[in-house]
Amino acid sequence: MAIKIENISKSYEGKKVIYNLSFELPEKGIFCLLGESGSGKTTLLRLIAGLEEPDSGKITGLEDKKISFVFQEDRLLPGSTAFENVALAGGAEAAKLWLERLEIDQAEAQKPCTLSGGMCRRVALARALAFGGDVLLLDEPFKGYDIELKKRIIPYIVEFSQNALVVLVTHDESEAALAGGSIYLSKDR
Amino acid sequence: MNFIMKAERKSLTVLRPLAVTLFWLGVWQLAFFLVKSELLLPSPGQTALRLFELMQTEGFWLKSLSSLLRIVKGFSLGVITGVVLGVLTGRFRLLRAFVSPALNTIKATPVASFIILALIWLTKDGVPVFISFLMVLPIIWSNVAQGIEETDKNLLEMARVFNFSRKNLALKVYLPSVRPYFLAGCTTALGFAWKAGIAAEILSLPLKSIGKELYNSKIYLETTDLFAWSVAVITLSIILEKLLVFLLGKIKSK
Repeated sequence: MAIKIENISKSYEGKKVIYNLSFELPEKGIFCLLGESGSGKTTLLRLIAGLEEPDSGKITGLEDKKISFVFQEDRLLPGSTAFENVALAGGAEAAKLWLERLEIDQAEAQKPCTLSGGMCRRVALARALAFGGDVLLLDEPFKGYDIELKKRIIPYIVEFSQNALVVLVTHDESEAALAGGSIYLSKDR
Repeated sequence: MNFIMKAERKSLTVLRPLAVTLFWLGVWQLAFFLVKSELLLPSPGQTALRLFELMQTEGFWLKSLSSLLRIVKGFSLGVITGVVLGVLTGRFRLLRAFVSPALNTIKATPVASFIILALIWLTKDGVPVFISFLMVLPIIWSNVAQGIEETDKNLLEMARVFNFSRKNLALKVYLPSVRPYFLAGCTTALGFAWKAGIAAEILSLPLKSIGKELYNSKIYLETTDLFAWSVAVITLSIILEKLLVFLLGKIKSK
């Protein structure tokens, strides 16, 4: 069943972030959310994840769907190693696989404070991929990656999207080109 | 060069506290010379000698150990209850609204009021335990509750998205947040437990206790005994605090 976003609006302290937005998301593939900063992309991901309720309107088709998330911030447990951070979400086997695929396995015993920004980002992505699910929400997941690394990692996202929906927030046109569909969120409401 | 600097630093860490101690002992000695009365102010030498004499007796160790056990008992009960209440009120705001006024009242009430009340309610031995418990409980409670409230909301949301089990949520998300607050609360509370516990002993006079000895020294105007027992209390307090810091350090490094 496709995910339908119907007339949703969301405000914070009287400021409209999303206003009367409607569109449909496919069941599989990569869907891109584009737009300038403050246009409500992250808010929309949070609404899809069920972390917040819209002020009005509704999102349907998410019932019984397992949702995974790469947040805008890494949100790694500071006291746990990279491996533990991933394994707590997806189990040891999946953690090993994804840390290796995302080329971060050499740092699996390190705690986040000893990793670079890009490495933390990869751990966060590994955690989301290891957790799996029907919907993968990615909020600027490739921040801090170099071009070559990104080229090696993107095929895994494409592979993942063959059996799940990947909603990708990005400012990068080359990343947006991967998407089967996209929507541009405007700040002007 | 590096070796010399290290050796210099090491000798400074030894010499500085020694110099500070000698300075204050000098001030004490000077005050003794000015007062010229052992009844009002015994000298450091007289105090040390009396303490040494007391240490030769079995009673000194028995009384010190009894007081120590009472305070440790009250402290432990306070820590356990404080943690349980802290966890519950940190998680359930409604419960916090009910518990907060009671614990804040305990915090604000003069300890003497509780001691007098406890004298009516409890046995001589129970009063210092109860008073130490009462001093520790609100400190540990508020620190643990604060640690829970201050837990990173982003991490809580992350744990929710990735379906963390209750155990992992408690151990991996809440515990690291609560730990520094709990450790700070423990060291503060221990000092309060000692002071209030000994004060409770002075008023409740358990048979074997430091408090009773302090009371007797007041009754019989044995100021040197008062000073010697006070030095014993301070020493025991420092040892217990160091031991606690050591044990908590072990928890911290885990």
